[in-house]
Amino acid sequence: MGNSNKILEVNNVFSGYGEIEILHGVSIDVYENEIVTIIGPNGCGKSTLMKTIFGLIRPTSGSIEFMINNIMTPIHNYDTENLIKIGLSYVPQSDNVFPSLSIRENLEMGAFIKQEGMDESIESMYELFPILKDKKDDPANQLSGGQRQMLAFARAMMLKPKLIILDEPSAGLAPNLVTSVFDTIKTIHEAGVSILMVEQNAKAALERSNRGYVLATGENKATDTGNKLLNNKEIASLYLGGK
Amino acid sequence: MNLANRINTIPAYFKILLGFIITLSIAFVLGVQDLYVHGMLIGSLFALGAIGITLLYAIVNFAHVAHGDFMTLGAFLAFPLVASVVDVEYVSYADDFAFTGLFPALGLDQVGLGPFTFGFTILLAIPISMFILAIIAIGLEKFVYRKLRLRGSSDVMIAMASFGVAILLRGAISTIFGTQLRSYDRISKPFLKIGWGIDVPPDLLFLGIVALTLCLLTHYILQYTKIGKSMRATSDNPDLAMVTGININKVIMNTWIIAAGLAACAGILIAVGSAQMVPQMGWKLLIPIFAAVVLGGVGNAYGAFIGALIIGVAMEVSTEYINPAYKLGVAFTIMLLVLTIKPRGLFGGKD
Repeated sequence: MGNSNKILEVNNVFSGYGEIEILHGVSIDVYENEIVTIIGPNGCGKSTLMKTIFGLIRPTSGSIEFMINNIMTPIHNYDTENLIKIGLSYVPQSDNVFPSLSIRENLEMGAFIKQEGMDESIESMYELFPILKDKKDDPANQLSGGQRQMLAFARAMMLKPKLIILDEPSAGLAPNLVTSVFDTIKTIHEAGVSILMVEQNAKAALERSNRGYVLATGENKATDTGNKLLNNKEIASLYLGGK
Repeated sequence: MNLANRINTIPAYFKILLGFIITLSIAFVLGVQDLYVHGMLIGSLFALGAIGITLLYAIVNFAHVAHGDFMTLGAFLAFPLVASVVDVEYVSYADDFAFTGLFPALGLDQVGLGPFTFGFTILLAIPISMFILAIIAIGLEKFVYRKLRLRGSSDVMIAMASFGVAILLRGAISTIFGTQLRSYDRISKPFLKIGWGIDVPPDLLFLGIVALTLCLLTHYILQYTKIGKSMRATSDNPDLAMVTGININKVIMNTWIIAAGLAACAGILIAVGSAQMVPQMGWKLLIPIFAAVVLGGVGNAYGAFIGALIIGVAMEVSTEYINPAYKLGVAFTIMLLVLTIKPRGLFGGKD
């Protein structure tokens, strides 16, 4: 089986807020154990795409399918609870921890819909991120920016999802923390989860991705392996800061 | 390390305990320890209302102005259960419903349990009233507040709607029970002499203990149960709560149930403690209770609890020095003084 199983297929999706259409027919795929990054200029609809996949915005047309029991199943009508049940998880761009809740309680919220096996899941997150164990009774607002991202990812990992959607994981972090966030992403990927992320920090993200998509004005512009996108001069000059 | 830093490292509960000991000592020196203890007990009754208001603000995001009338309604819901209206003293159409209360009619012991003015039936009436008021609150949420939210009304509009609900409830209570002074059936009992110059009515001591028990139960729910954790999570970050699969509507319902239950209990306890009830009682109490909420930091349940104790003590102790008619003014003065120093309340609230 290996890497060949498709777990997410977004096909020609149109979506937006109210009257304003932002995505004009976007298609992407994610396969098992992949890291897929979506890059593109500000306002191209990257975050809208993430929210549409996670059901926070309903697509006006197109299909979103997810692998459930080895069958690709349309999920665009699923509510949040059902999306979590079938193995999707979402980490918002900012404000992605509960500041006054303790670290442990934040992790508990990640498994809110299914309380069985809570302690084991929390222990395995502590193993993955020992720093969280050291501070488990502290409120999350006492964590540093990098640690917060760690906690947000760990929270999203609590129910052992098949796919984690990350909305700009390095946004708002000091440059020296960006590497550590990508290390964290690598850690959770190695724990056996596929990752779909949008990222401003395109170079760092693509270097660590199996594949990438370039989105502009709500449409697909290009797709290739992470490295090939990085080495593509046209894309580099348009979307990677001209280097 | 300078002084301000040192003070900041002292844990909050220690500061509160210290504040309590210092103020109680001052009260002894001034000879007002009796009023101080009364104030603590009355404050703990206020706390039941204040915690409900602050939780609703934290989670549903608006100032629930009808909370005072929730308390009144709680008290009046217990009225037909435990009270008998036998002597019609005032000529009023409302007294046409002269009746014997449900529990007395069933032959249950009614008044004068031990040192108390009331009987054990009031203890049966409390959970019944809490239950009915919780159902009324759920109805109001479903058919009024949620509808307004879904239509995109602002928080101020929803607070104004709750003002309307307050008037509606008060009108309904006045129409059904009349506007005259009423009370549960009771017989007078002597004060309890605790010593050190402190005399309290046994009732008040009992009511204070019931109120504190409920506050502790609320603390337990908030800190250790799934319901409480989902409430705190929603208060912290509703958008994130939603993407973790927490059903926000369910959380809001749970909040209403807790707030209404506490309000019903507060209403009954206050009606027993003051030996009287009128349709305006809760409305008048809304002022010190809101002062307690603001004093502790809006949206902070623990702040509301401590704020209520402070307001209770300040109001009672002030009667030693000034006309008791100015009690409410004292509550507000304390609140304003604290807010000029700590604009977000003593313990910090929610933005």
